[in-house]
Amino acid sequence: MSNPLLEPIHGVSLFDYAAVCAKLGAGVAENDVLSALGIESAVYEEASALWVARMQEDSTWEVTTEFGKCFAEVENHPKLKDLNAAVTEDGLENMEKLKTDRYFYEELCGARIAAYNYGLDGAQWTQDNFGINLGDFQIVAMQWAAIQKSEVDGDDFENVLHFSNYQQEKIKEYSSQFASEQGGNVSDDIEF
Amino acid sequence: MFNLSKNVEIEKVIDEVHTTKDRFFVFLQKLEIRLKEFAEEALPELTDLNKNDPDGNKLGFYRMKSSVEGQLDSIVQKARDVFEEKKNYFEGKIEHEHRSLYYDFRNQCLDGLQKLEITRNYYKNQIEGTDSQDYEMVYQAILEEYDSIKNNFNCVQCSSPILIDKIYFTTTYLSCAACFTQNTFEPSSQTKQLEHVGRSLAEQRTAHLLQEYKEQSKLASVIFSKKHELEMSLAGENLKDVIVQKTKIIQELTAQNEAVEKELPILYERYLRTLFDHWNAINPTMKNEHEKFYTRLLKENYYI
Repeated sequence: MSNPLLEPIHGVSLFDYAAVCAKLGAGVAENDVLSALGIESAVYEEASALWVARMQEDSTWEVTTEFGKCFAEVENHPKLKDLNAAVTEDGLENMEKLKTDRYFYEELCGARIAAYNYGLDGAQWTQDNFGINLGDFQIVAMQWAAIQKSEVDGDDFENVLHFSNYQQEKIKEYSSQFASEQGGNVSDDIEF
Repeated sequence: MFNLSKNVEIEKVIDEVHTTKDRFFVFLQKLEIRLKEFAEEALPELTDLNKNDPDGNKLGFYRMKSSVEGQLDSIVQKARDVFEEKKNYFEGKIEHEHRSLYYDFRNQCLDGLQKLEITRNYYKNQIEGTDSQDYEMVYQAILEEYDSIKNNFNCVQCSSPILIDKIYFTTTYLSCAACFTQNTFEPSSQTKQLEHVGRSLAEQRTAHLLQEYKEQSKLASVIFSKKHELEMSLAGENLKDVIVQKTKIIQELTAQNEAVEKELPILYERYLRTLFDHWNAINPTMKNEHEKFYTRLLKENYYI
């Protein structure tokens, strides 16, 4: 490990830290996560504050970039991979679809954006309607972000644009749905 | 006969372009009035909710803010959809020799649309301004909480008092001076936010210094633009008197620009140093880490 800022803090590696963040975001109780990792909260909380400080200090952004990669790789963490919050059967099925079906992922991204635009808690809406919690969604989002980056790096802008347009369509579609559920938009009565 | 019918056709298109443009501007005006009315009504409600949201994380406020912003966007989107539709329609209808008619229509409508977007952006900034938090009050609450608990923590083993000697913002082991048992002290969730609150409070306290730096940056850019404009105008100038006069002004502007540019890093450093001094005073435990962050920011922002 050439960059000293990537060295573990009090035995907590960047992978551990990112995996803890991912699991807490996915609704797993802090005690369960720390116990599976085999550390106490006093150690974790200090390490957590220092990892944030390392990201602030790092002008190369390497720590932040690595954190993102580790966050998306939580399913491979040796101690935390099998630790999950209670998820419904539908939720599990939708999670699997979210990981493998890009159209479904873009649709839920669009739905979340539209939900926030209509004063709904987009994360809660996804949980209520698809059984996917915010943390799990973010993990999958990081995986798709890596794929999109590789498309950009490989000059595959056609694909990037295709999915971006698809997401825009879905934003419009869900916006209409939410607007109609809330009695319409403020300018609906103004016609060209 | 053929030309006559073509001329009639062109006249019809010209008429249709003008009518559509006029209607579009009336449409924009109605949308702008609605946008203003809606935003003006929402602003005091948001301000009130920001102060009185019963949810500690202000979730109600953020949902309403997001919803108001979404409605403002929906108004602009409505105008944009119509603009795109009409633009595409005339793009396909107006032939090459009358292209300027299409370009004029497109550009004028686009200007009107941009004016609506400027109004939307103005209100979005106003809405953003309702999202304020008084970090002095949050910090005061943390200090008061510390005062109330610092002498009230006892050893789990022998019950001897253990002094909480500073504000701990993470769970910490404290040894008992009497029996040497290691005790775990866990701060409240409010105090666990000290590092974050400290930075936000330091930013609030030094906002005027940042503003001073930004204004100086803007001044430098204005002087540079004036100087550049004059330098460009010299290229086509033949009158000797004018050249002498402009050259003199350019020299003055160059001197002014140098003076302002020289001041910039001093102002930036003063702002940054003061900010980090405040942050260090609020959470001294993290002083070493703050200083590394300070060094990075100073290095990166000097010449931005």
